[in-house]
Order: sequence, then structure tokens, then C-alpha cells
Amino acid sequence: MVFSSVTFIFYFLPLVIALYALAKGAYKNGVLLIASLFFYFYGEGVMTFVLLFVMIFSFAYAKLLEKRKTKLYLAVGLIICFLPLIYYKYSSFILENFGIIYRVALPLGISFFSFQASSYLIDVYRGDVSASHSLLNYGTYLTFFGQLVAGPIVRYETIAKEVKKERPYNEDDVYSGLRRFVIGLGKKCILANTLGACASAISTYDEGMILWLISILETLQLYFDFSAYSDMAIGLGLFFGFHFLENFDYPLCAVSIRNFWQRWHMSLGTWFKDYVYFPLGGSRCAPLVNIRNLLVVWLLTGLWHGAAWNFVFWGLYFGAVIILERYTPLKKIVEVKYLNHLYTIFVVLVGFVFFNHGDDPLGFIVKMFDFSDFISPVALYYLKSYAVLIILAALAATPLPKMIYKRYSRLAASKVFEPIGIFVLFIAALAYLVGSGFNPFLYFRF
Amino acid sequence: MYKKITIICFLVFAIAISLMTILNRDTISYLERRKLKEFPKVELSDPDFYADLDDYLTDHLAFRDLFIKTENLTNKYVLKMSDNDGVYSDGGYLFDILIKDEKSLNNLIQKTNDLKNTYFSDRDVYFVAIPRKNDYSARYFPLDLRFAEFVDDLRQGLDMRFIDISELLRLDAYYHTDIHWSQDKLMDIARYICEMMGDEFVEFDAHIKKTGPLYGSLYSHSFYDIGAEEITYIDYDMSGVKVYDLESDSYIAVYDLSAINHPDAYDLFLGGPSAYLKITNANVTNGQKLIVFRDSFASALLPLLIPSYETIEVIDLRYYSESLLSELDLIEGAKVLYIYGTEFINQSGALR
Repeated sequence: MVFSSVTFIFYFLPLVIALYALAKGAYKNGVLLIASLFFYFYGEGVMTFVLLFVMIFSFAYAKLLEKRKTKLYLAVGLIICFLPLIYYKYSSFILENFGIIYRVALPLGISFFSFQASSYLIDVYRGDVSASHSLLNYGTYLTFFGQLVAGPIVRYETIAKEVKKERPYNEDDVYSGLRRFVIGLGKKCILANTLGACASAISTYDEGMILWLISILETLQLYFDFSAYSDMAIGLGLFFGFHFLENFDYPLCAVSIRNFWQRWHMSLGTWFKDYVYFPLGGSRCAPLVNIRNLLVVWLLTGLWHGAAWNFVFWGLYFGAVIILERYTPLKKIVEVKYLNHLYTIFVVLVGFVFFNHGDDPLGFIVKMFDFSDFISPVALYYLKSYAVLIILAALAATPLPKMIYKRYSRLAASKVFEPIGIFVLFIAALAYLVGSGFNPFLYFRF
Repeated sequence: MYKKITIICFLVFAIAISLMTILNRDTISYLERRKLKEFPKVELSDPDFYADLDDYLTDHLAFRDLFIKTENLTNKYVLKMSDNDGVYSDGGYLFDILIKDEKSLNNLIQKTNDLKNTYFSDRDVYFVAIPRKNDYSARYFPLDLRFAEFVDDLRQGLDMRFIDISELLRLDAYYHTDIHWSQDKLMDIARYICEMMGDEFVEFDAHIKKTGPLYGSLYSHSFYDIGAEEITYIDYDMSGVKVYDLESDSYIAVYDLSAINHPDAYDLFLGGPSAYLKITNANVTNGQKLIVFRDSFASALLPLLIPSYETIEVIDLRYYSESLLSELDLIEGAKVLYIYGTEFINQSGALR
């Protein structure tokens, strides 16, 4: 089930909210756990057992790990925790490289819940959190439908206190959650889907100008799609008394690639930083060791996004640029105002070709830079037709809307206009959800 | 207080929509010209059930048509798009953008020539390509296929006589909301085609009739709500006319007025899409016989040729495989006429 669906918005969510409101004490988490498992079963069927296995194993093993905090126990726990992910996500890829064709369906969101469970084991091992004594509470944390299939990757310590307590109805939180959910729904249905539909409509052309336009559209689509899911997840969390950390911080306004990845899918970046980069030595080491550490992190980041060589190259591409930014004169560019934004956008646009065009990314990039037959009437037509949307999307990718909102939200009239604005956005999002048949789910690989 | 009111309003709205959606019993979307999904067979362990349930609920969402129109208007007035899903409007007409597909054009030329050489090498074979209404619009879209662009390719590629009807058409020969042409504007074209084939066109006492509503194939993509149209048909004395439909193994009406309630009201003409029809007219004894290969555009034209021919065999190669043609008892000595719309020629992948 996806958030941007009639089933979720008009049936699943209102029913869960109603049952949650009626439930008392521990039953609240019971409602959320059952609802989350049903949410997963609805789309994934028997794969729900994979989720249950990871949930029950990590819960039980954390209790053991708390008593025996040795690296061996941690390693065994992590290997078992990652086994379903390795089997379902990477076995086909590994075997195909040995010429063996082996296909296996990928359970949705397995990378997210496997990383959450592993972070829990590591945090218990480190003593950052205590092992949960309640499978109900832990299960509610790990399987919460708001962030189960598209993140963010929530660490147990972020909501450990909230998941244990009563979480009474909080009008401010529910209102903020509603506003955030509707903003996310609008970003997904109006911006991401329409940008994606345009990119799809011109995907059969291969003139340089068209390919740049496709690259811009797809990058904006991916940003709005992914950040929209995070918005909706954060909003859904607030409905039920959870306060998740932000996952995006206007990455397209970044001044360097390093800065971009500090703002894009922040929960994944934090995971790799805390559990891979720092344990390897981080940046407080010799340059060559630091370069190795960065390459390991970015190799894993690429593989996390998809089990295919294009994702490996995609990760290493960004890792290489970050290394260049740190150790070569490229760092001078990231200090030049305005130029650093252009540089970052340029590198991102080229880099995301590896992400979006796995069949022949290099061919795509070569054609982007083929200026012999660059100007395309098709590109000019679509650029004109979608100009307002692209400009709106570009502005929405900056902090400008938030700044305007903050300025006017202090006014008394905002108490009238803000709810109206939320409702209008909700109706518009529904109109695009229903009117446009283009509503892809981009995270099937994760 | 305003937060509480907002939350309550949203909850009431969501519950109201969900109930209205459940109670919605519509089976057809006239706006989108399609049947709506039926409620799936309940099999809780089958993942397909949930996917089908999603489709069903989306199809039956309360105010669905209003949401679709809202999207169209937002695209036009807020996002200032030049077209909506490839459809634009001008002068009260809706037009769809079609980009020339050389492969499709060549595929059609090759298959049509092969068919002629295999089955009709010793017969008179004619080809009519029907222009799109875009060719008669003042508004020009740079990407849009123009009839003149590929008509020369057709003439040169086809090993048969090409009949050009483009001079006989005007914009008002087409429906406002649909790609098809209106039958009451086709009399001159029917007459011209007969003449060009060297056949006699038998004049008849025609009565123009209208029925509706017609929501054309482009209607749901309109920026504006330009309203439904009426579909026009020419009635005449049809005693002695029989239309045999191979698929249903039964005789059908030339005009099926009940089809106006179908998602595609154009089914009114000769029962809509059909693999093979055999039309006989006992009142005609001039010896004229015709085999027609066609797409949907011919459905409105063929009734006007019935008074001129003893027999017309109608084959739609989208639904009837060319390899099975030998199983048909095709009329000996009949002339052969291809009638295809530009849309089909440019998207000929459906040719079997």
C-alpha cells in the first residue's frame, strides 16, 4: 500500500486513527503494530514473514547482546539480521556476475527495516540504548507503517521514550502532522508525478538538450518523491505521537557534493557515518586511509540503493567527487559563492544518470555532451509547456516557501488561511492522484 | 480552536468520501470512455486482490470526474501547460498531438503490400488515408504530425492506387471531442471513393438523425468542460440489408442505437470494433462487390456505401490475423479498399 492511494488516504488511515483513538495504554501500540503488519501484508503478502523474522530476531538477540557485549556476538547478530537482505537483494546480483541467472522477489522496504534493526543491535551493544523488554513496543518501532517502506531510517533511541509511554492525544502534533502529510502528498502527486510524467513522455528522444531536460526532470522528481515520502512519514508519526528526525534539508541548494549528501536522505548518511565511517577511522587519519574509508562508505551507499553495477558506479562517483573536494583544488570551487551551487547541481545531474538509467548510463552521459545536434524542437516545446511547473518545483526545492510561511504564519489571518491552504492543497493532490494515471513507486529496489 | 476545527473537517471529509465511494455503483466512466473496475473477488491471501481493490476504489472515488476536471484546469490556468496529456483545444475542438513514427509507417506499407501481393495481386486495390482534424486547425504545434508529411511516403511506398480525400474534408467534418469524423459530412467522400474506384455510387434518400450523449476519446483531457456532443447518423431504407458478424456468429444492425450507452458511443456504427463483417444488400443487383480492410474510421463511412454494393466484406486486421485470411471465403473478383486513419497508420503495431 502506498500513501498516495485512495485506499490509504480514505480507508486505512482514518480506520487506524479511529482505532488508535479508542485504544488505551498498551493497546495503542497494539493497534499500530497490527495496522503496520496489515499495511505490509497488503502489498507484500507472505513476505511479511521476513519482516516478522527480522523483528523477532533483533528483539530477542538484543536482550542477549545486552548481557554479552562482545564483538563476536555483535557480528553474529548483524550477519543474521542482514541475511534476509543479502539473500533477497544481493543474491541475484552476486550470482549473475558468475553467469548464474537466479531471480528472487525483493520484499519492499527490506533495506530500511534491516538497517533499523541492525542499528538497534549496534546501539544496544554500544550501550547507547537499553534493549527493549517489550516485543510490542519494539515491533511498533520497527514496523511502523509511516516509515516502513520508504524511510526515513529511524534509530531506536530517537523514539525509545515515546514508544514506551502512553502518548496522549496532542492537538498541536496532530495538526502539524496533518499539515506535513498534506504537503508531502502535494509534493508527491502534483510535483513529483507530473515532472516524472513529462520525463517519461520525452524518454524516447536522445538529442543532447532533451537528455539534459530529462536529467533535470528526473532529479527533481526523485527529490520531491523521496522527500514527500519523508514528509508524509514525519506527518504520520506526529499523528501517533512520534517525532522523527528530518530526512532532507534542501539538498538541491547545497554548496558542494559533501554538503549535498549532508542534506539528502540524512538518516542513511547518519547511519553510514555512525556505523561504518567512524568505526573505520573517519577523517581523523592519514589521507590514504581516509580515502579508503570514504570509498567503502560510498560503495556501500551505492549498493544500498540497488543491487546492480550502475548503483555501484553511482556510489563510487559521488565518493570520488567528495574525495576530490577534500584533497584537490576542487575545494576552491566550493568556496566560490554561486559557482559552488552551479557546480553541485551539475555534478548531481550527471551523477543521477547512473541512478535513473541503469541500462546504459555512460551512453546517456556521452549524448548529453554531444553538442553537434543539441537543440531539439521537442525539448523546446516541453520546456515551454512545463516551464511554470519546473520553476515552481525549483522554488519549492529552496527554503523560500518555508521563509514566506514563517513570515506570514504570525499573522492572525493565518489561522483562517492556513487551514484553507491545507485543504486546497489536499484537493489538488487528490485531483492529480486521480486525474493522472502516473503514480510510480520509486523505492521498489530499496 | 482552529486546529481542532481543521482536524474535524478533514476527518468528516475523509469519512464522507469513503462512504460515498463505497456506495458508488457506477460501472462506466463516460468522461474517460471506459468501464470502471469491478469489485474483485475476495481472496485475502492473494496479493492481486489488494491491487485490484486499489484500482476499484480509485475508479469509484466520489467526485472522480470533478477531480479529473480540477487537474485539467490546474494544468491550464496554474501550470500554464500547452497541452494536457498531449491534448490541446482550439476553437471549441480538442486535438491530440501525434508524433510521426517512421517505423510504424514503414511497417504498415510493408504489411499492406505483402497482403496485396499474397492475396490480391490480380485485383484492383485502393488505399484511402484519412487526415486528422489537426490538419484543418489554424493552430500549429511544431511536434504534431501533418498529413502532407507522410502522404508522399504512402503514395510512393504502397503498391496500389492512392485515393486522396484531404481536399474534401474540413474541420467541421470531425467531432469536437473525438478524433473521428461525423457521418453526415461523409456523403461526398463516399461518392468520391466510389468514383475513383470506377464504381457507381447509388444515391439514396438520406435522413440525418442525432442521438447522444457522445463523450469523445479526447473529452477527459480537455482543459475546459466543453460538454457532451450528439452523434450523427444517416438513416435510410435498410430493407434487404444484412450484416453478419463472424465473432458473435450472428446478424447485427447497421446502427445499434443502444451503443450510445457504451463507453465508446462510436460502437453505434456496425457494432464497433469487429474482426470480420459481411454486409449484403439484396436490393442491389449492379454486380459491385468490395473487400474493405479498415480501422474504426470506416465504421461511419461504410453504411453510406451499402446502397451501392451487393456485398461488402469488412476485415479489421487488428482483430483478425492476416495468416487466417485464407480461411475466409473472400469474394472472387471484388475490388479491395483499405481505409485507415492517420492515427492507425502511425501506430500500426496492432496489425496482425
